[in-house]
Amino acid sequence: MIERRGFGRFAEPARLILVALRDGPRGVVRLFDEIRLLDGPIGPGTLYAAIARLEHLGLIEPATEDDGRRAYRLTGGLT
Amino acid sequence: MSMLIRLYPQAWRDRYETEILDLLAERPGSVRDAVDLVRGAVDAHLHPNVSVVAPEPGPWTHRLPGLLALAAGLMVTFATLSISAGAGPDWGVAGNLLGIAFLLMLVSLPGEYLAPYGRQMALAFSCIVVGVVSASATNWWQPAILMAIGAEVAALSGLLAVAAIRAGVGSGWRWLLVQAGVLGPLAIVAGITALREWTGIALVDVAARTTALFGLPYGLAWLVVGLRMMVRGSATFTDPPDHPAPAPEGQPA
Repeated sequence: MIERRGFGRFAEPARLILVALRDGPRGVVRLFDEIRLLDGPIGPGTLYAAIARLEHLGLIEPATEDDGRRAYRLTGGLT
Repeated sequence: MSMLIRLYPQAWRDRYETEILDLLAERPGSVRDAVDLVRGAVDAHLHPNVSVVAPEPGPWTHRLPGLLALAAGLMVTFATLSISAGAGPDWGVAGNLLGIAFLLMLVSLPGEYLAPYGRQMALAFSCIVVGVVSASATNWWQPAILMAIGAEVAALSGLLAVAAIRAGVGSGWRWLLVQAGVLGPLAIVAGITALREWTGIALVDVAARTTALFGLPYGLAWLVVGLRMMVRGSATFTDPPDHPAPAPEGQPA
């Protein structure tokens, strides 16, 4: 699906974000660390390009961590 | 590296800046990450994926300043047209309309802009007062009237600039140019008319009816600005300012 939506070079990071969020909401820092473990040294620019696309398509949505910082989770359609 | 975030589009920054700055604070990046941010900024400009959420409509009172500015523009337009198109200039009605329009312009401006632009507004008001008082109180009336005309042009120009900036129509040099186009000809024609009245020297034969026509762009400019203010909505003087007034240069905020 991601490949068909014009993700381009952000397709793989976007896929990994969806995989990481499958186990529940993730804070941005933890999400960043997990994607780096899975995909190598991606940068913050790539991470947010993928996040913006996924959010724009309604595949993920923002949430809030216990400490008030931003987290992301899968939307109802994907959980 | 956080400076690189400024390369992103404003809508993107409004949405993601805080959290990406949190991320960069927790995970300070390398040169490669800096390059990645630049590439991300280019991508954000080319492929804006940020969903623009329509702002919630403000209270109806936020339409009032725009409504007043719109009414002022209508009055100036009607007054100038009635003077220039009538069989004879009806200065009574037109003068009253122009006076009311000027008051409406003043009232439409206070609010969130009163604090940051208060100095300019006070200067504009002072120009009017000094000009009128000088014209009425001194026997040396010719220079005083000239001063009154200059003061009025400066004040009207300042009012239009503040209203236009408030309405988000433009700012800075762009508005100075627009004002030069709108008010410059009016000032020149008024000066020529005054010269003819005082000295009998007629550089150009300009009738009062023609002079009034030069006020038409000014009325139309207020119409546009007022309409824009109404659509955007703006805080009235009864609303607390959203942002504190900027500190003067050289002083801590």
